[in-house]
Amino acid sequence: MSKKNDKLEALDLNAYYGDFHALKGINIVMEEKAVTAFIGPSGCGKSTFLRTFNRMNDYIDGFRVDGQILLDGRDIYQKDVRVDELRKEVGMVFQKPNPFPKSIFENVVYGLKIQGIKKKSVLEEAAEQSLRHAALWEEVKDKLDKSALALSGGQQQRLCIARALAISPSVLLMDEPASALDPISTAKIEELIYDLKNDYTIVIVTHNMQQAGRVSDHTAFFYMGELVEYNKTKTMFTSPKEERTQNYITGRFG
Amino acid sequence: MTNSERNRLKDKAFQVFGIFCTFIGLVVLGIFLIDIIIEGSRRLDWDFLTSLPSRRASRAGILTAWVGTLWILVLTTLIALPLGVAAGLYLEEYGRKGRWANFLEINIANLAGVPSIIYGLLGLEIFVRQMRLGSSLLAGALTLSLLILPIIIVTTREAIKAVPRSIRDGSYALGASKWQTVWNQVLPASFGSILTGIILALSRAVGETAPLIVIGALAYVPFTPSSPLDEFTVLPIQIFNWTSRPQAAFLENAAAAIIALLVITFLLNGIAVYLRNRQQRKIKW
Amino acid sequence: MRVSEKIIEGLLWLSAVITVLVTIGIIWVLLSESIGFFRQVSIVEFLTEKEWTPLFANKKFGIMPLVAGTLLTTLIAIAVALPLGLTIAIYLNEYAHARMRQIVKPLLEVLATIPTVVYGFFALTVVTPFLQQIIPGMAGFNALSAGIVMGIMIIPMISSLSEDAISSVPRSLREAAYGMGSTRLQTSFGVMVPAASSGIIVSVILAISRAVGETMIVAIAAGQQPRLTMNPLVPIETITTYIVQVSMGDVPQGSLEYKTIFAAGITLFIFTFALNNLSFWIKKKYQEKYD
Repeated sequence: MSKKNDKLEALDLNAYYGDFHALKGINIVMEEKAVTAFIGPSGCGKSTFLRTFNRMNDYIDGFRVDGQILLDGRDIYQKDVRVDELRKEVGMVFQKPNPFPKSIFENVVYGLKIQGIKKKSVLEEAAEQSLRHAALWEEVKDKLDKSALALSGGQQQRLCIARALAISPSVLLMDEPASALDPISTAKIEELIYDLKNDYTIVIVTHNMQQAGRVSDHTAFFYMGELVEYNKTKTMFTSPKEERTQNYITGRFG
Repeated sequence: MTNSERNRLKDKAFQVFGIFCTFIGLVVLGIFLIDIIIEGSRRLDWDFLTSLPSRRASRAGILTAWVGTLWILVLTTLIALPLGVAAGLYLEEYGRKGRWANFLEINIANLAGVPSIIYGLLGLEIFVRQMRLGSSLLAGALTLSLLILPIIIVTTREAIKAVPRSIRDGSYALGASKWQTVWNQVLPASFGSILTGIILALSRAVGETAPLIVIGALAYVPFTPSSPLDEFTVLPIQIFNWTSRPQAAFLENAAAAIIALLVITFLLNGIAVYLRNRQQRKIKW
Repeated sequence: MRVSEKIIEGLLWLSAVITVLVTIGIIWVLLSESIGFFRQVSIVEFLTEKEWTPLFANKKFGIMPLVAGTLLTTLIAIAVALPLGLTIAIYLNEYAHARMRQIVKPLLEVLATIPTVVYGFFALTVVTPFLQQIIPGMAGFNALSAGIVMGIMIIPMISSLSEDAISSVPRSLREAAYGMGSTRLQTSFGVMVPAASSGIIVSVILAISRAVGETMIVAIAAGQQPRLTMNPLVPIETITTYIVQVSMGDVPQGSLEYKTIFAAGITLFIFTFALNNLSFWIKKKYQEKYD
């Protein structure tokens, strides 16, 4: 297998909520078209870190970062970077499914519509493609104009994935995407992640160690705002270098 | 009688007193409505609704008054709705927390407690005199708009606050700007509740009398207004005028006009309650 | 795109700032016109003179009769609304079934939606004639009927705000009282009302502020005769009624008579402003205590 390019990088990244030092000097390199899992106990900073890649933390009062986040070698916290452009490149799926209170179709094409794309044929094609990609097309193709809130939780989450795919990002951030779902829906989402990795760079935050083991190529373990260990998932789960990592994955805390 | 028996007796007595108090207000309300209907219904007919005012009680009608009330209703909506919703949006979505936001909040709470007649004095000086609008519909609508602005702002804020954070996050994550998120997600999701609040505020405006008297709205206007710059009267002012006359025939007119005013007020409130109930039955996030 | 975002934000900001301009406008209008008034009438006369006759040949400018009229009608209104409103709040909270509450509360709210001019009509044509049968010699215009009807109008204000205050008292307190064998009455007055006292006080202060600023009921039913009295059976005049009275006539702009309504207005504004801020202050203190 050929060596893949570096897609995302963090260099000496520190983040603060007011006085609270949430991320402490993080350095990490993630390669493209691979799945990287962030694990660690609650409050360890893994979600905060995930949200720095599409700058979702910008809206939180008192939040600031120093250091660099590189996407394809370009620092996304530079002044001339437009957040809306960045988020077309870096899509995000949230912990709880959050479909808009609109129709299924409107949900999928929302990102395109706000870019000013109005042509119906373009939107319809994009909707079908994204829904197929998210393995939801067969289930919803006859009720695209029905409210998205009428779907089941697992379907809603796949709709949110389709919605993110519709604007053709190259990176997909997933913040515990299956934590609010039942086991069957979780399995579907995991399968989906496995398929999507052929086309997208995926970063997933998860609470569930088995899930990290099943879906990811690399795993990063965070503890108290620090990146403790980062390695190939297999290596990490079989022979962790750090004692804290070992304690965590053997279930001694967290 | 033992102590505990006495206590239980007192408890029962208070229960009876409580029922009495609760119903006395409702009974008074009932007596009052019946009295108005009996007195007013003799006078309330098509002629009464379509006649111009007159010095003779039996010929006088409320055409100019209810047309004026409708004009005021429409103009006030056009002014107060965009202003109030915009201010509510700013305070809830844009304004940073801090001293300035605190100050705005206290200021709005204070405005909500200013007596309506003071708004009349403000309107008289600013709209009628400084802006030279005269005692026109526009001056009246502007005055009432300022009066109900605090109510609209407060209800808008509450409605917006009820829209879950996750909806906003979802929109931002797809590259939407702040305004795109507000316009496409936040406003549509909160529109029902905002509308309910606005209708309630308007029902308040429809019944207002004092501020319009102060800005110089007249009881006797011999024509129906045809532009926002015309002089006008409204139902409450017509009612006040007739009530102040000693002749019983005018009191009858007043009662009939009150029926018309109450129909408008209750209709607005009914719509608001209906919207609120429908809103509550919708799927919750 | 960025520019339009900024423009929109600017417009929204402007709308919010208008609320500040309204406050500034009110204070400026009241001050500028009443400064003109106080150039011609000394503030000592305004506060100590016992007569208010700006519209007569022999002009006297003592605000006290108008203040007395305002306080008298307010006092009567609160005397009606406080016991009734508070009893209703306690009854609905501790005694009534949920179903009854659901029906009664919206009906009571109807009382608050009726326009005040309609209440004025009611006071003049129903309550006064009724009271005259009981109290012979009562004048056709008087503070009593106006005050009573105003009290009925503000019942829902006191009852719903007090009920909110009582129902936000922690469950554990109420259960403790019942656990020791208290009756509902003892629980209400011994535990719930004291615990909710600041919320109840806030509701009463807001009701007072409302009554002080109320115009149409008193303008219709209480008369237009400024009189320094606490007798509820004779015609009086409130601050608000005086403003209406002058507005109805043709007083030339810029005259001393014209300025009197702003002097009266600023007096009214100071009263309600003080009451409202007192209520905010109590509310804030109370919230800090429970949070």
